[in-house]
Amino acid sequence: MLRALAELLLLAVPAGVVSTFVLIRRLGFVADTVTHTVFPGVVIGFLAGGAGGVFPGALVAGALTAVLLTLLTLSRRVTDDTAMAVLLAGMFALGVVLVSRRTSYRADLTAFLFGRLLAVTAAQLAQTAAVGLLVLAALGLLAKELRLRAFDPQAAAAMGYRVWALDLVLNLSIALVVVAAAQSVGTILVIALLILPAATGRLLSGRLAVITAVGVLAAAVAGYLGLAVSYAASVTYGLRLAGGATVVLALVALYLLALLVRRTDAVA
Amino acid sequence: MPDVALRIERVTVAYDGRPVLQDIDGQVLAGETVALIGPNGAGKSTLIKAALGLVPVASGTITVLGRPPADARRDVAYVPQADTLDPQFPISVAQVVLMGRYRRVGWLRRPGRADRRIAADALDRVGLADRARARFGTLSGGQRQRVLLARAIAQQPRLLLLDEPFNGVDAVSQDALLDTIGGLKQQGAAVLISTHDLSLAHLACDCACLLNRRMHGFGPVGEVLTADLLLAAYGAAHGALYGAA
Amino acid sequence: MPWLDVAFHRALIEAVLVGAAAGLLGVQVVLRRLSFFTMAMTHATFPGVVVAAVVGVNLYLGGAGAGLLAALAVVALSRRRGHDPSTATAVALAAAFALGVALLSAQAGFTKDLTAYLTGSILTVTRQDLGVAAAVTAAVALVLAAGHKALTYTAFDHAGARAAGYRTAAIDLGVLLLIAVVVATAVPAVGTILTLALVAAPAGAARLWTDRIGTMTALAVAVAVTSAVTGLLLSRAWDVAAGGAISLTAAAVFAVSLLLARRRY
Repeated sequence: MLRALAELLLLAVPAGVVSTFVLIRRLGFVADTVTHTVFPGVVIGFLAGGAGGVFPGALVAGALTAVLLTLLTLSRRVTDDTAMAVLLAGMFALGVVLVSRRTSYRADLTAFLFGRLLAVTAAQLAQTAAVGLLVLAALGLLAKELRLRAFDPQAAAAMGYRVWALDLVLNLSIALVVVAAAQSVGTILVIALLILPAATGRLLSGRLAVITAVGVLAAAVAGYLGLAVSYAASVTYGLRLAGGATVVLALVALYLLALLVRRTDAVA
Repeated sequence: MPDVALRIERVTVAYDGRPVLQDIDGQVLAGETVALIGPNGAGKSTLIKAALGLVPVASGTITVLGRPPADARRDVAYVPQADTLDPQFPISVAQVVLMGRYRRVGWLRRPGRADRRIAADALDRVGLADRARARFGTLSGGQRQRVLLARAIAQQPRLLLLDEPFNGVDAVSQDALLDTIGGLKQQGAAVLISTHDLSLAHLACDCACLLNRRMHGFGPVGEVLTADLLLAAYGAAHGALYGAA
Repeated sequence: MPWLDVAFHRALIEAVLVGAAAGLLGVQVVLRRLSFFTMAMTHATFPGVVVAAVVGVNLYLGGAGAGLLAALAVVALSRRRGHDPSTATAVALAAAFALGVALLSAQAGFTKDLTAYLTGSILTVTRQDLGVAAAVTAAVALVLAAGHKALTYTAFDHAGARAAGYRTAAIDLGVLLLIAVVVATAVPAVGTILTLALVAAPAGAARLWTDRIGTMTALAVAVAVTSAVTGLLLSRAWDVAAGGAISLTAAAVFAVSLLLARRRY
């Protein structure tokens, strides 16, 4: 229980920060694509090395997708969204096909997709912390360049920045957060962590720093609330509610709350 | 003889093997303003991108401040059209102008006090110092264009490239833009402005380059923007209109 | 018809019908760049299906109803400050899916139902399912044929279409609803991911070979139906999940088109 909470709080910080860049770059579909393409990596890792193989498998698949997506936006041959849809569905289908060969097909699939929040190990906590620090370091050090690229890519190129390299850094960061969260929250529900924090922040503010702060806070609070609800439901009412899902629903509730707050458009 | 900031020699640019610009010649001197005139699709934006080294040149050479374009970017500022930017983007006017300092600040470091002062001065020069804390998207189209010019000024460039800066700009902002460009010229910057507004070219520029895929004239504004040459560049319909006006 | 008593025969018919509907609709999805919205629809039908199963109403009605709500939510959220359509779509997707998972996890037999939902169970389709799929496919074909001028106009030039007197908001919403209906029809039979693959990949592949909408539509339907049937046969031969096999086949056609059709587009 405490480990689950620690995992969620460790995830909240990088998720809140990455979601800000996902918001300003409009990468909702990219983030969703990565959450699905990591899945075959998880399956192959598990088939090859058991539970210990999941993390490296996801890491390889995530990094590969980040590179592919960066190349895709460079080439502009197909409209981005069609190619991404095919990549997403194709990779996910590969994972399903591989896992469907196993006899414990259904239980495995469910665990991969929805995570085991209450079964988080100390090793997983360490992985999450390490990945989180890496992402925060990368995005923190390149914050001003990434912001310029998001706001005005033409000017960024004119100033001599390599836009594709900045894109790769962000895509890799998204993939890393997905990988870190895959085992606890599950690959499919991670999309909520990559979208909702900053979307909530944007409803309340037009300043990037405030959006990020609100996002981190919302993710952390939702982590606590969701876990508490899931726990209370099972102990008090004997109702089993998937922990990952209640965390996401808490995040949705915070988002809806922000929708109701009167909006002000001033930056200050 | 002042320095040549931008030199274009027999330049041809092609997309997918089809030439979009052919045999272009011209130059912009320090302290001089040149208008890039031509109809839509004439290749004005392409020529600007080539000067930035963002579009490969099929033949000929472009030299910026004596160097290849890609090596001179630190001293070149580019001003895009304001309406290509997302008005919902969560960023303040001051932050946009500060972006002009990023290249000089360098990787991994935050802009310092001196950078902030340069940015504030630049915003003051375009007359928008009082809007520094407003969100970029809340400004009018003309004001946004002025903010982007301020960002370019904050870069302290020796060559300034402006892509259709007067499109959809109100009279107040147009005057502010013309004033600021005049001031930059006085300080010795070279300025290249693409536009299809002939009266603004007369008002703001020393020389003009008349363009429609090929070059139809280059030289002092009064000698280039004549009915004959415009007829050649724009085709019969526009030439007749200009002659009648 | 005794031929239809064989589960595999019913699965074949279902594959053809769903493939045709997905291929037809895919053209609109690709031209209007609605892939992500389609993805959101596949997730959004989920809570509806769960609620319908618990309450005991028709699963298709539950799925389509939830899809409708999600479509309206996306349209409403897109108008909020700082929310572009992709953010709004992602919000609706994440919220709906989490709701479905939470609801389902409270039920017994969680794992089994979820797997069927994600990867489909095409081998268990009933005659009634076939009836629904046939009706939806026919309806989609009819609507697209009747409205193709308006659809093409609005997809190509939204402002111009409005100026020409088309009710663009109604047409846009109509397309979104059509997507919701096709997804709701396809998901229970063939699974969420498969639906996206079958909608986006054939039309995307067709677009690589031609610039004409008519040719593109014919190609998209042909690719979608062929992929569905081929995938089904492969899944039987190699004993893998049918939904995954069909998706992979469609994705492979797209990948090959991307390599071979290099000089077009």
